[in-house]
Amino acid sequence: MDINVNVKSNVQIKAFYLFYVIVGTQIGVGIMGAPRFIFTEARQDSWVSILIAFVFMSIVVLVMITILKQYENADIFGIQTDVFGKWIGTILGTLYVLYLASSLLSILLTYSQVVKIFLYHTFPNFTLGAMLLFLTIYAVFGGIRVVVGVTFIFFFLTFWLILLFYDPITRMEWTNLLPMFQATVPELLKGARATTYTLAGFEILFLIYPFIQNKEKIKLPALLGLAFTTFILMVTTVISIGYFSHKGLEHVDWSVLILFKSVSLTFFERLDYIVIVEWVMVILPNIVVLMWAITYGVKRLYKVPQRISVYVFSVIFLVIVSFMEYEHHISIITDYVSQVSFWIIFVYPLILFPLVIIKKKWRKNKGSAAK
Amino acid sequence: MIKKISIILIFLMGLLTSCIESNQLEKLAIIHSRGIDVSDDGQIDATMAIFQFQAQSEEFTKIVTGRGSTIKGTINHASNESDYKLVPGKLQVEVYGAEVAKDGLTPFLDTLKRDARVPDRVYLTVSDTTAKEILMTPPKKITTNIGQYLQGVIEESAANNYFPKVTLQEFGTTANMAGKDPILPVFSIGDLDVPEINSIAIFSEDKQVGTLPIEELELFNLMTRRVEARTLEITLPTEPLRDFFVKEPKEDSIHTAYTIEKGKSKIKQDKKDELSFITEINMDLSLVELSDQIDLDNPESIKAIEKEIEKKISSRYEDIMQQLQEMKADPFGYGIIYRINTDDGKLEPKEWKEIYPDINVEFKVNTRITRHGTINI
Repeated sequence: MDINVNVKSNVQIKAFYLFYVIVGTQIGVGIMGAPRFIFTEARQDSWVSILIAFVFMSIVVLVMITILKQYENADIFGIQTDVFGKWIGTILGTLYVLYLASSLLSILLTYSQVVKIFLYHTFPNFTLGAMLLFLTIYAVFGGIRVVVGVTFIFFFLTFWLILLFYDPITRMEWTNLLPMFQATVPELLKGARATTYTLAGFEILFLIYPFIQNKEKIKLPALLGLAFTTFILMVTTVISIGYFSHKGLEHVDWSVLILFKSVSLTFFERLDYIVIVEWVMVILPNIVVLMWAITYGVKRLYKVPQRISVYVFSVIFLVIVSFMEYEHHISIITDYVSQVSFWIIFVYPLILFPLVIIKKKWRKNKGSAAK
Repeated sequence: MIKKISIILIFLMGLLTSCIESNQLEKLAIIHSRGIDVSDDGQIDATMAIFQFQAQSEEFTKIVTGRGSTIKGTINHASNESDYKLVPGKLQVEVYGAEVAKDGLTPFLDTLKRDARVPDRVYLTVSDTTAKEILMTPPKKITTNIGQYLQGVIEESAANNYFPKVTLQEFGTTANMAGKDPILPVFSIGDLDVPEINSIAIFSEDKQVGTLPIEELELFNLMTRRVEARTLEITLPTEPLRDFFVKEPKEDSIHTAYTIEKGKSKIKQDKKDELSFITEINMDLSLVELSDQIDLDNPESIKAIEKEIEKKISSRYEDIMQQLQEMKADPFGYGIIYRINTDDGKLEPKEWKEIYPDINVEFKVNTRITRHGTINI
């Protein structure tokens, strides 16, 4: 496998779009229930936890960028092959792809669960999965530019949802956020860790990097993307803490969706119905980007063309989604993805970093010794 | 390729039609308001005001009743009575019978919260007898349907800052909160044989523990939010004001009425004693009625009236507070202030219920009568 990727200029994208790709991949089903998990750990200081998560995430992203800069035009699969050799590199790459696949699966399962609870009790998972996957296949066939385009367009199509928070804000009990700074440091860190599932998604940088045209400019859009996601998560968490009682929030699934339940306009009584349907547009960029990443990874590792693997994976997903019914099983998968993603996307880059530097030094020494 | 995909898509369309249960408006009965009572054998009696949209029928509202051991069961039972499918998607008012409220609302709130189709904006109310009596008001007495009527009363009184409308979300949040208890409006059949709000139901967590007369509502409002443009009626003793009367007063007391131009309150905890609270209430009043003539050009007279009002309101607050402490209910939220100032910011509702009867509250009322209308006596 080549360490560096040859990318034709007609499939390259501008670094500016990285903002949309990162936001589109981060915000998805996770945020619907995130406030509860953060609150359980850090109580009314949850917002501090989210800020800690943001700082940590920014460090990880800067490390990722530094790793990628050591190479001419490589992605995670090339770097792993370079550092660990062909065999281990392929195994690690496969694990990476499997992680992406399980995270896509958890998105499909969670969303179908939400649709059943909030909209149609009899809606089969199979149908919902099939419809979403058809759109995904269609988008992935368009290649990287279409995938990035999806994240760009759907960002603007879903941004207005945040304006609907005007109503829950007026119903908030602000004293629920007091007293501040009560959580201990371990509690805050646990709270920060509870954000993992929601904030996962910036690992896409490792895969999309070779496709970026002006690589020297990627830092700003990447960090802005992280900041935007953090902002959204913080707003929803703070509103949830004020809107529900402390005891109540611990027992509410999908608290963010319930925030929309009190919004009502004179010409539209139940806006939450629209919001849940609209959420397809929030998760579609997620699914499309992940599906592209999975098939691209398989292509890099095993040289299977993307147009074949996208069908294979879609069928596998569809079968699993059709048979998973119990909420209990779905939460096991989500927990598992959340555990693994902590190690793969938050910790792994920090381990990889020294190895890449050592490898580079070693190669340099070898090069100078040969001279 | 495109052909293949389109074939699959067409095939899929055939499957999709049966996926979702269809809800045809003509075949639905939309529950607008619901009254919940529990009969002696533990069964739930629900009385529901529903809307039906059918071309032939002239009456589009109807009252149906259902019995069952769960609320969903009562809906099922009532469906048989109306040959329509009853749906709770636009439930607006929920009335609980007096007995139900005393035993706690939690069992009945469960389905409202759990079922995502029930809106969060349902107004909760309590009846002073049974919920059925309120909902069974003869339709001739009111121009609209009973559900809309109740909703109208609640919304109208809220719009005039009269009684705060308490929604499901607010009630649930406050009932679960350590250090604050909810209140609900109590409906009863008034002199005109139509339902009216006649008292304030005081809750301790989810159980009704007593009522306070509706006349004290302004004092409740002052404690929980900023009050504007509300009328306040106060009866003052004549003795301290004797010097300022134009003629010798005939009675011992004088009736006065004011418009509150601006009123708000602030609760502070004593720094030395964590069980002592100071409540400051500031009001700007405009005098609108006097039952006897007082020389208002004399600035001393205004001052004297202000002082008497302050005394009177403080004592009314102290009365209310004493009753609330006996009921172990804390609708003013002293517990929140207590919780915020504890070391770890945590307070269990039970813990607060133990402490609450022992707290001391000092009411400091500051009033300013800024205007007295177009006449000076």
